[in-house]
Amino acid sequence: MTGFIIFLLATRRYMAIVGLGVLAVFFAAALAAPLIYSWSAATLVNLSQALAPPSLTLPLGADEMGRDMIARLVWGARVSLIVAGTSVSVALVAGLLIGGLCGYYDNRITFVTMRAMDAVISFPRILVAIMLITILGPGMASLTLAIAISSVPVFARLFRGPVLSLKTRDFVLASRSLGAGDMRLLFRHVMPNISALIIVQGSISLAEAVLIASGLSFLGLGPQPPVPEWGAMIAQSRSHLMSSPHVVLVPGIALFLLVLALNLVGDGLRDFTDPKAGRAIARPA
Amino acid sequence: MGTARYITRRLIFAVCLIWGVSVILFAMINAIGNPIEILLAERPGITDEIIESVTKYYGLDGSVTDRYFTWLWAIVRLDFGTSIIYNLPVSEMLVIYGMETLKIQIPGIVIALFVSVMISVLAATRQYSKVDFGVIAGAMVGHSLPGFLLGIILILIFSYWLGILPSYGAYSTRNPVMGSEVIDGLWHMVLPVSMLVFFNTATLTLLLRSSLVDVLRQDFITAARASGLPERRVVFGHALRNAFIPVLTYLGILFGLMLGTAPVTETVFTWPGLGALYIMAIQQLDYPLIMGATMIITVMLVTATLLTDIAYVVIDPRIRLG
Repeated sequence: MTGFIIFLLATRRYMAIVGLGVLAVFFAAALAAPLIYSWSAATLVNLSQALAPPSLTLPLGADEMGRDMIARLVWGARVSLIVAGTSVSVALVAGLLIGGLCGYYDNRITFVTMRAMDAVISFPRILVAIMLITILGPGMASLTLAIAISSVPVFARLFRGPVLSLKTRDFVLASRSLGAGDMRLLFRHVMPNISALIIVQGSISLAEAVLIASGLSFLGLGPQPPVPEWGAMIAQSRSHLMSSPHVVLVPGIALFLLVLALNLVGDGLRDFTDPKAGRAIARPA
Repeated sequence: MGTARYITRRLIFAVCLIWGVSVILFAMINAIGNPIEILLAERPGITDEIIESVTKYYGLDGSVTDRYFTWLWAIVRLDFGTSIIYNLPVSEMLVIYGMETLKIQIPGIVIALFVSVMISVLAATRQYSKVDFGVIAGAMVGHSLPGFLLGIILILIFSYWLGILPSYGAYSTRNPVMGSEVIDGLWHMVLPVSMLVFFNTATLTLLLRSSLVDVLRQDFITAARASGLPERRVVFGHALRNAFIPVLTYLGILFGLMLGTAPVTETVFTWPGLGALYIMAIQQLDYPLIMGATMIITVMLVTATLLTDIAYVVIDPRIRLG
């Protein structure tokens, strides 16, 4: 971490540092959410202050149900980060296993598996996720699972290539000649060499996962009310856009800042781990 | 492997893929349970006998395999059944709503292609300049902005504050703009198309810029410059044509962009297209509509990928077949 910051400072990548700072704020807010605001402050209806504009007592105003926007914002950060973090972690593990095994072993089963992965990749990710939610029913858990499953093929294909080329390298052959088994070779010798790729891809995928999660929630396929998901908040408050734009703009700007920060940090990480590589930007949903 | 054999193999793979999706889709829809029970059971006055007779009417009492093959044979003949919510033939609905989707998606892609060519030429010919960094930063912002947010901001500015553009729908129900239905339709297209152009441009510019940067470094460009060609002809005549090879083969990506952006765009602008229809079908569990739309989307995507693969080997003979 310190090395990363020094690298960013030394190469004058100030935008990535700003991104890191913004991320830190969001993470702190998500972690501290239960300490600053109770769950009921973010969900209980209080119509006496419905659509209150920003003021001293309510710095970001209140939504159409009279709920404090800041309370909903910090709890929303928690929801977004949990959904994105969980789905990316699950997808990373599954993608590593599938990509690693399919790169390491070359037989009929791995061939068919990779072909299936290629087939899923040809569908836009948001459509894959929508189809999965159709079956699973809307909600936070199915949203997380749908995003995870829709990103597994991307990871599997991405990690297979390096494993394919690493397994023939001398240091792997050397430990094989010492009698190391397949699993030991794959997990102790091959995998550690793609850790940089895993970190970079993980951070970019987080940005993508937040975007897709908010998009699906906007469509009503994510966590159901009163859960304060930013995309869902925007969808629910839309009809009040004209009279009180803050109910839409506040979660919207938070969402944009979080995704931008994740992309900037991912971009910086890519340069940090591989200065020769091109710039990294998440593919759109 | 010869080109003909390669294409045949891809074709067989494509058919297998579509068939595989039909099996998975049917199995998953089947796993949700008897649609008649889900749709009717909660309503007042519905007895078990009614559910039973409706189930029989729709042929849902047969075995899974029987029902699958009945359905498969029907969709092969392009008969997707009748929508439960709208009570209209699904095939007819898919065509009508599909046309509305194409009406905004095609201009969205074409204008974005044009704009991104201009921007990426500007950026790539001045690599690492302020313009180039500005373009990269712009693309970064474009990739970080949620689609629905941009749509809503456009509505806020142009419909609510300035009051010059309609915020929803494809037509005015009464009093078309300037008394002409054509102008009225175009007027309604402005905001959704702008939103699509913005996002497609962000994606395409990145692809084209990096491709163009690579091409401009190659020897034949230096040779063209050395032979005294004006820079404009070097860039637009020689470099751009080659930079387009990878982009042309992104045909599949373009198509994916169209399908991926449709649900959110159409929901934001209440556009009567396939994307919004699909979301509505899912929320209201309109089974025939969900299944028909999913199959049509699958066939279109697989066809686009197939055409991309074929275009790839036809355009660039260096591609190794395998």
